[in-house]
Amino acid sequence: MSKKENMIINRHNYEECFILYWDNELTASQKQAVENFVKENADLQEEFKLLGETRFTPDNNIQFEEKEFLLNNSFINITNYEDQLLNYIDDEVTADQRKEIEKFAGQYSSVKQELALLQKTKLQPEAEVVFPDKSVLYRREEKPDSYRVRVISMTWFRVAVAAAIILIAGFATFKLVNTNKNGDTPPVAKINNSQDQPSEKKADSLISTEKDTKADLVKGDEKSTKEQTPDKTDNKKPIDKNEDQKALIAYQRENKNNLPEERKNVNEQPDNMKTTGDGIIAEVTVPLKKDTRIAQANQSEANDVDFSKSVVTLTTIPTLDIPEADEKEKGGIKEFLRKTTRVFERRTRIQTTTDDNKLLVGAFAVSLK
Amino acid sequence: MTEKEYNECVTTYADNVYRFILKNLRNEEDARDVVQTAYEKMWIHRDEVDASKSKSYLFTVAYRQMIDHIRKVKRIQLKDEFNEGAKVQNKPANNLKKILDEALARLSETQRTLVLLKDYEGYSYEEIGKITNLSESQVKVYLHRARVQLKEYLVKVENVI
Repeated sequence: MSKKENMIINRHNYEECFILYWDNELTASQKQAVENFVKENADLQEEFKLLGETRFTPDNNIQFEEKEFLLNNSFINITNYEDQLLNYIDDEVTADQRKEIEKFAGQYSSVKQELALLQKTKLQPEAEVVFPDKSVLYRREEKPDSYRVRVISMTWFRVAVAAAIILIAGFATFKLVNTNKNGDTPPVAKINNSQDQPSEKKADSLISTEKDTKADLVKGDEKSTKEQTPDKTDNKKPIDKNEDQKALIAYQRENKNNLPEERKNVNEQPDNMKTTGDGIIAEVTVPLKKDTRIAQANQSEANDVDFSKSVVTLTTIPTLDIPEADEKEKGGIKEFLRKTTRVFERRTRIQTTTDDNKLLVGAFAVSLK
Repeated sequence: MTEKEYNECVTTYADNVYRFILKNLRNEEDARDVVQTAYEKMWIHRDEVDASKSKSYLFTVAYRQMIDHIRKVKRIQLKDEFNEGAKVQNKPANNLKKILDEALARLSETQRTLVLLKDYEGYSYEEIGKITNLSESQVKVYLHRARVQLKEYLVKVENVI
């Protein structure tokens, strides 16, 4: 411009000076110089005006209507709308922000189109794609080996202990019951070992045997009476043989015909004798097995019984003296006989064992009434 | 995490994680192996896993397992990708789902993972960041770029059609 200040306008350079004038690129003195030149040259005035008319003036009617789009103070604007649209489809905006974005997209069609396009890029899970075999993924917890073994061993141990206890208890109960039965067995008769005596003495001993039998019978009665009394000292007291003899003498005096004593009081009888009803007239114990002669003699005596009495009970009980040593060997037979006698006892209520645990076989009772 | 919770996790999420891995690997056997391994690891560490976070744990383990798998077979994977690209060019896309699958295949592994975790499972940027071991802002940037790429691919294919 400094050059142009010194520049002198003439008919050779007036066009450049006119353009600079209208472009407002000249200083005030230069502008005055141009205006003086146009006045001095009237033929150039029209050209000066034409150049002046080529200038554009701003149209104030044209206004920018989307000024909000350019404002940076809003949540979504020209600089960040794409990010906000992506946040929108990723669902990373709040409900209020979502509404604002939707409103913004509604105002501008280009934004709306872009939002629709972005929504198309959103993938949808394919439900038809599934893991082929889920059973290989399922798992089950396993207990530690030591724990398992312990449980199993305890179970077997418990079973074994329970079985052992039951067996022991059963065996003990069985033994206890058998012992009680043997101990509670009321004496029926006791036969001495006089059967082993020589045959010529048998006839004499028959009377004595019968006497012993009667004595034992009385003794048995006494014993059973004593057992009913609460006095325990009497039970422990050994049987006095003198008393037995006295009882035998008294018995012989009253029954001179050697007939069995008539039982007047039924209540005094042992339990095994009660089946006869009113009373027992005679009771004869005959050892059949070891000496048939004795048995025959007893049988003949039994035939002499006075049948005028109301009831006669004939008991022929051969005895088997089983040694204890043989008990183990004959345990099976003994057990069988014991069971049989139990049934017999229950039916007849007659005891078939003696005081010293001797088994009487073949007992029977006849009611003559 | 109890046995019951683990088995519930199998019932509920096995398909989801399988889809996620299958879309990334595009191989059913590999995807099945990765899912199976992920569940095995989950079972081994079940005492340390909170049942309420079992899904995130499962996807994290599966994602890492998948990355390991991709690294092992990287060459083969790249070869497949090139073939896939060639197919895309020769074959006209006739529906949006197919176009999108093709567009997805063109994304990088990370971008594809982010898009799938977002679109399939609806995870937040923060949750995706935890699964993929990225920051929330990284997830946002990568995911936005991926989305713009998908959009440009759609526009390009539509213009071709």
